[in-house]
Amino acid sequence: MTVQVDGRRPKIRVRHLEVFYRRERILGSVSVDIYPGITVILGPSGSGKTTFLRALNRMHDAVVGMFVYGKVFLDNRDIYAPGTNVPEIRRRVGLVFQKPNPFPLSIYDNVAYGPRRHGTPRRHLDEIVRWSLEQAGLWEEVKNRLRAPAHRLSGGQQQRLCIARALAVRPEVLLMDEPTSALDPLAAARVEGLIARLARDLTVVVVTHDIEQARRLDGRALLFQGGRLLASGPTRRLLSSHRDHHATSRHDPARAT
Amino acid sequence: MRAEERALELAIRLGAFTAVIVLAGIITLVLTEALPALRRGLGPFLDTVWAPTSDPPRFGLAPLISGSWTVTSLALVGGLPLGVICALFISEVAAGPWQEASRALVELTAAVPSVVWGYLGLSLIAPGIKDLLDLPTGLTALTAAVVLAAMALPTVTAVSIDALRAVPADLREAASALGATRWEVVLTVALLARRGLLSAGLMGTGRVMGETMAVLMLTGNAQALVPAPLSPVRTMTATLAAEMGECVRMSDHYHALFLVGLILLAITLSLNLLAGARRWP
Ligand SMILES: Nc1ncnc2c1ncn2[C@@H]1O[C@H](COP(=O)(O)OP(=O)(O)OP(=O)(O)O)[C@@H](O)[C@H]1O
Ligand SMILES: [Mg+2]
Repeated sequence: MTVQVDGRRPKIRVRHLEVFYRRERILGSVSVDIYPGITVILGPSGSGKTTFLRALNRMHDAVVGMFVYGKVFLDNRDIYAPGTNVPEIRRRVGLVFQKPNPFPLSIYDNVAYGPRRHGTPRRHLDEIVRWSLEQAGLWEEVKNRLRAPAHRLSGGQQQRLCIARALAVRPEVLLMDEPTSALDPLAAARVEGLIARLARDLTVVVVTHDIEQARRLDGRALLFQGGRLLASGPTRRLLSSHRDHHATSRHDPARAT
Repeated sequence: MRAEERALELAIRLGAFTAVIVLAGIITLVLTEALPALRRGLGPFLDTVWAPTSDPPRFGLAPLISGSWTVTSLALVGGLPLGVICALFISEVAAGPWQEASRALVELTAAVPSVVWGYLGLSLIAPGIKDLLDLPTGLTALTAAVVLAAMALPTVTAVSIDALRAVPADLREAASALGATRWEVVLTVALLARRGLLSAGLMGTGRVMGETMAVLMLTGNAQALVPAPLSPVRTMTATLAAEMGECVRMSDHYHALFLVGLILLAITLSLNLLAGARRWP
């Protein structure tokens, strides 16, 4: 059942995943393997990309009226099994939201938020904050104003701050929901480079509307449509065999040729 | 449509204008009636006893101020944390019908008049404290503080709930996505709402400072320069309520009472201004 890609085992195995909002099924049934490295998620608006992503670290739990069925194995343990330590799952599977959502605290306190919750000794915090900001490519820009409010940063800087904040808890999987859609091309290029770099060590799952970006990130792709998984496979092959489907994405289709 | 909008705007402006006029009127009145008290300087008010009807009359403000201070601070020590905790529970922990019901209860309690609270204190809490602590009288600073805390609770809770609700959902999600437990998320929300919670505290303080009836009924109304929580005290508000009706108009006593009123007004106004300023940073 489990297929190995490049000799690697899947990090996440999704089986018969269904998400309901009240009586309505908004996703399902999805069965797919996600491997270390990059997985991009493609599909038109409203096709269930965000819903799928949030199901991978149980973010639907807190939403009244959302029900998730099926299994999601993280390294062979079902994260929906009864008795699962949900905060622990979220520590291992980080999520960067589509809209940058830094806390109205200082830059430093944003990055240190996760480690502090997980009992990291105070003397290690400086080092973790620096490492995370370096990973997110933000360190040089903010190293002299770590105590400044995060809201003084630009949109692109805020998004990178949110990535640094997610990295600070040392996740094994990083989920990103359209991390570059709110950014100008230059900032988007930076974040894209960052994603490619992170994917060397982590399992990275990125939702994007930008076909060119998906192509550049390479790796594997999942194509959603109408709340269902339409296809999955290596990004290049998937893109060439489903031209018409991804052309329905929000971005200028002309760019996708 | 345009005409309606204009009428509405006019009505709102008129309302706001009236409120300002009334407030200005009150301040002017209290000022003009209080200032004559200072004609012979501050000297008489630095006395240690308030005995306006003795011969010669004595107008020491210290026992009244310290009485108010004792009762207010006791009430706040209990009422403020409790109000914030109630708000955290209602806004962050309770769900569905429980949340609705507890909110409704808070709003209902906010509407209970002071006299009812005073009566409850007199019939339940005062005897309770007397028996429990084996005191000669149940009418103590503590009794009044307990009742005042109960009165301030709905105000503090309601304003705190608004402050917590103002924390955007995506920040709650950010916290839990980083692996925060439920309680850590609740504490984070409280941290992020700290300015609003402070406003709630200031408004609760205003409510406690301004209450007259309950305190009048419950403090035992005996002045003490350095009051203990378990002895009777006399507060500024209680003094005003008890003596304003029977003092001779335009007498020294009358002006002295207005001076007390002026102090109270200054404190409550500045608390409310502070609360307002904090709420809109
Ligand atoms: N919290 C929610 N409550 C109700 N319905 C929801 C909720 N979240 C998503 N849905 C529904 O689920 C479907 C899929 O939404 P989802 O956000 O997953 O789409 P998406 O592929 O991420 O779209 P986009 O590209 O616009 O972000 C939509 O029809 C949406 O209406
Ligand atoms: Mg989405």
